[in-house]
Amino acid sequence: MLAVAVRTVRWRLVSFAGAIVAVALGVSLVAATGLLMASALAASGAGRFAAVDAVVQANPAITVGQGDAAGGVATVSPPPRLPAGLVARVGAVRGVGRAVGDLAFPAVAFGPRGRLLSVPGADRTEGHGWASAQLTPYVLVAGRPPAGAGEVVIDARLARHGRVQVGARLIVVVPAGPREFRVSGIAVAQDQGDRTQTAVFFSDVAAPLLARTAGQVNAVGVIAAPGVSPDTLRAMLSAGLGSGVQVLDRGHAAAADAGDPWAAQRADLLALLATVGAAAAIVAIFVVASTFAFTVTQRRRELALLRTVGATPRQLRRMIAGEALVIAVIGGAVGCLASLPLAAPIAGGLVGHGAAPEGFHASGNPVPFAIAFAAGLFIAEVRQ
Amino acid sequence: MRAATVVSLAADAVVRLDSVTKVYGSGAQAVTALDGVTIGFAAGEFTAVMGPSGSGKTTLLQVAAGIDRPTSGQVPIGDTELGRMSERRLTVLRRRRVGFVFQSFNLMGSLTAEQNVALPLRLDGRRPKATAVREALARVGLDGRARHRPAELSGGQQQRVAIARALVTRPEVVFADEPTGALDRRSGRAVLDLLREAVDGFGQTLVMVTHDPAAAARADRVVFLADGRLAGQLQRPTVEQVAGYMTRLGD
Repeated sequence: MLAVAVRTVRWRLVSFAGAIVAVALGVSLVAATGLLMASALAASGAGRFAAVDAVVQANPAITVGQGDAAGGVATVSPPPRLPAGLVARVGAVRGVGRAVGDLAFPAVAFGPRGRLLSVPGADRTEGHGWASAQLTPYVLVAGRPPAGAGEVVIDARLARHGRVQVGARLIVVVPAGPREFRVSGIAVAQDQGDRTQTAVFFSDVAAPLLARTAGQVNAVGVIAAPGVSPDTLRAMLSAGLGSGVQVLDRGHAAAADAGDPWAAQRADLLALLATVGAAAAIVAIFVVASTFAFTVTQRRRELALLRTVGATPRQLRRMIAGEALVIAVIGGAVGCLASLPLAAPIAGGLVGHGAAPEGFHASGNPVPFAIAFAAGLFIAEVRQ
Repeated sequence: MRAATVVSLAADAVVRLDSVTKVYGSGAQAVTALDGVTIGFAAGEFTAVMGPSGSGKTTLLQVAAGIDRPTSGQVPIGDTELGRMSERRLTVLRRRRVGFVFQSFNLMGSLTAEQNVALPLRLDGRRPKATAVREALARVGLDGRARHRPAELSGGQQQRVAIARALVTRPEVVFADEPTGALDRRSGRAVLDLLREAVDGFGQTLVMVTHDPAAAARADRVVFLADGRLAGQLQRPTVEQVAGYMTRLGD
């Protein structure tokens, strides 16, 4: 009966067009919201910490209230800083090859004639100690590391856009105030995991003073000893450091940088997208159901004819289910294809309204397509 | 004139109705479409069923064909009673033993002529032989139109495709409900020629409901219905005899 159903859909394409369009629209919205949900759920990635095997940050979960009112847990983002003494403790954990205390603080650099150094696509410049360079890693392409309080190494992207060369003098505004520095070198990031930020490296001695974070680090980047797997390393770190800290793998390391940009928005965004997707699916079910009710009325005589010619009720049900299948497959395929161009403006709108962080875009995750396609099947078959 | 006087139960009847009553609706709205009808249709016989509108012609055909069930009375098929069969078994029986031709809307618009002819075989789960389907179309003079859809065929041609479909399963009996009703005279005659030929050439049992005396006169026997009861029959009648009988019934 599927063959008859296929021919019927082909022949009655016009009257089935409404149902196909409804399924396609429903599926495209479900797939688009699904793609965006997959993005929202995706790991934050390594970001600036592309070279680490693990990152240790302060546990961002804090208990709110005290006494009888205690028990509410909130997540702070970015997490609080860690005492600098922890770096040595991390370094002493078995399996750790190298532990690097990482500092990140706002550093706004101005070029020779007072011109702000900036890079299109990057929304911030962060200051770090030179030791942090190995966590990305940033590699010198000119000059030498910063020696002493008056020297900096700047990001090659900043240097290129600001036409700054080794030896140039810059004014950099840091938490301790505006200071003048000499560019001792230019470094390029070997991994472009996070293009939204650029870096200025100060000497490891000067950085905590400029950041006004003496005795503290933002996070500790860890590189495993030879032969130790990242999983083993993480387990050893967790066991050795206790519950005051959180150990992130490389896939989530960006969260320990300026804080997980998603922390505040993820739950709301997921709820919003889920609501939109579900509403789209329900509307599509009603539209398809009424389209089918309409065509079935039109076709009552055709179905009666099939009954008298010898189609059992079950065969007719299978035929109509087959038609629905054809409609779902066509509508689902069209909907999945349409969901990609549809997801982009939705993501743009969410970013524009501040509901999603800058750079939010649809993931290429295939799972939402499968879910949306299944939803299309459900939409088309449920009206029976 | 009472039913008992006109039709005896032929021993070799392919289809029999025993005191069949069919009531539609219930209570005050109840309509008795058939009222104690007993009739048999013999193998190889071409029977026309006539009667005024509302006399129960179509109901008789539908009950005899197993499309509808009698309210009381028996319609034995082989050694099984039709009224007790499940809907599925009844459907299977219908597609194997019975062929249908209606006044109009006989064909699936989405299927070609040959696909329409093959439909009862396919519904039965059989893989129709292309030669058998072509043969059936050739018998109705449409072997050149196998790949045409109904919309590309004239009304007469569509009706001939319907006859080919009714015959392709080699059914024990073919029921035709006003098969010429929607056709012009020439196409109607061609359809009747085909039906007559199926009876004469292949021994097909055929029951045809009609209100056209000229069509009825092509049958071996004409049975008259009035108010759900048998109202007489004519053997090998002329058009005039049939028309005369009908005029009396209409009064």
